[in-house]
Amino acid sequence: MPFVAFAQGHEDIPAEAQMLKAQEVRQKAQEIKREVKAENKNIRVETRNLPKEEVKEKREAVRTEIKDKREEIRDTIKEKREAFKDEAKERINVLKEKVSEERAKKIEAFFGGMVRKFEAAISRLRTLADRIDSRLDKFEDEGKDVSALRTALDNARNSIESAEDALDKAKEEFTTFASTENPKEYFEKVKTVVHNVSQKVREAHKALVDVINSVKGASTPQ
Amino acid sequence: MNQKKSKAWLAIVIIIALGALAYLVYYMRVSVQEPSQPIVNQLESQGTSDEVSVIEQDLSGTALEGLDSEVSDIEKELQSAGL
Repeated sequence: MPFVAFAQGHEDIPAEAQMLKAQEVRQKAQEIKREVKAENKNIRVETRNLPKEEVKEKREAVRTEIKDKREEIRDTIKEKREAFKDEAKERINVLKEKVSEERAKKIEAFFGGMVRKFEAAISRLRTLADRIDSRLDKFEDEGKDVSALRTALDNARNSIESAEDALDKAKEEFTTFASTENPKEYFEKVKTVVHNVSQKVREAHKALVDVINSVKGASTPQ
Repeated sequence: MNQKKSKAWLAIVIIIALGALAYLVYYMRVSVQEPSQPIVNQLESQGTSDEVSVIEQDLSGTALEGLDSEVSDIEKELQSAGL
């Protein structure tokens, strides 16, 4: 019953158009990511010789700008995730030529459920990174040097994005699996990429744990 | 008078029946939720504080086991399909 519920209700959107949309969204997200990185680097260079008050103002402005850009990335990611959901009907239509329609719906629902778990895990890690960022902002306002912690957090954020990229790859492989001549054989490939997503999510989680441990060390009075 | 009374009773019975039906539909919807939903719900809930100890707690409470458990379900489906 839940399988049917998941598969129904999607518009019949041509798979090629949806694939194109996902690609566009990914490109846009990559562009914004590069901009945020450059912005972070600029503020560190620009404020080096400025008076305290001006530094504070500038810092606040850049923080707001970065926050807005991150929001923009999240919107594009949301859009990309929706695009994959919208392709469900199309994938079922193709897969049902090799297995029964009911089985095709079940397989789609299983994969869809798994994707939602991965998406929730990645989103959770992003929010945790934001919360650490917010704590670092406070340390910075207190005059502490947080540059090493920021670099570690940037690296953790990169790990999170690697997990999102791995998930994109898994979705692409699943779409190919649905239309391939021998789905069972191709599923071995899907399994490998899904395993990679799990691994990347764990790595990203570990990176954040390492950051929070360093933050803890920095916040403990010597 | 009697006819009025029986109409009122009929209305009450209909209201109760509709209430029971609504409850049944709600119950069925809850019970057929996707198996992945509890894990998704758990992952989606976290605090908002930026206190180090609270973030640490949420990080250690991030359960990442079984995220890919559906892989074996799909394999079973493919096997049952005789592929």
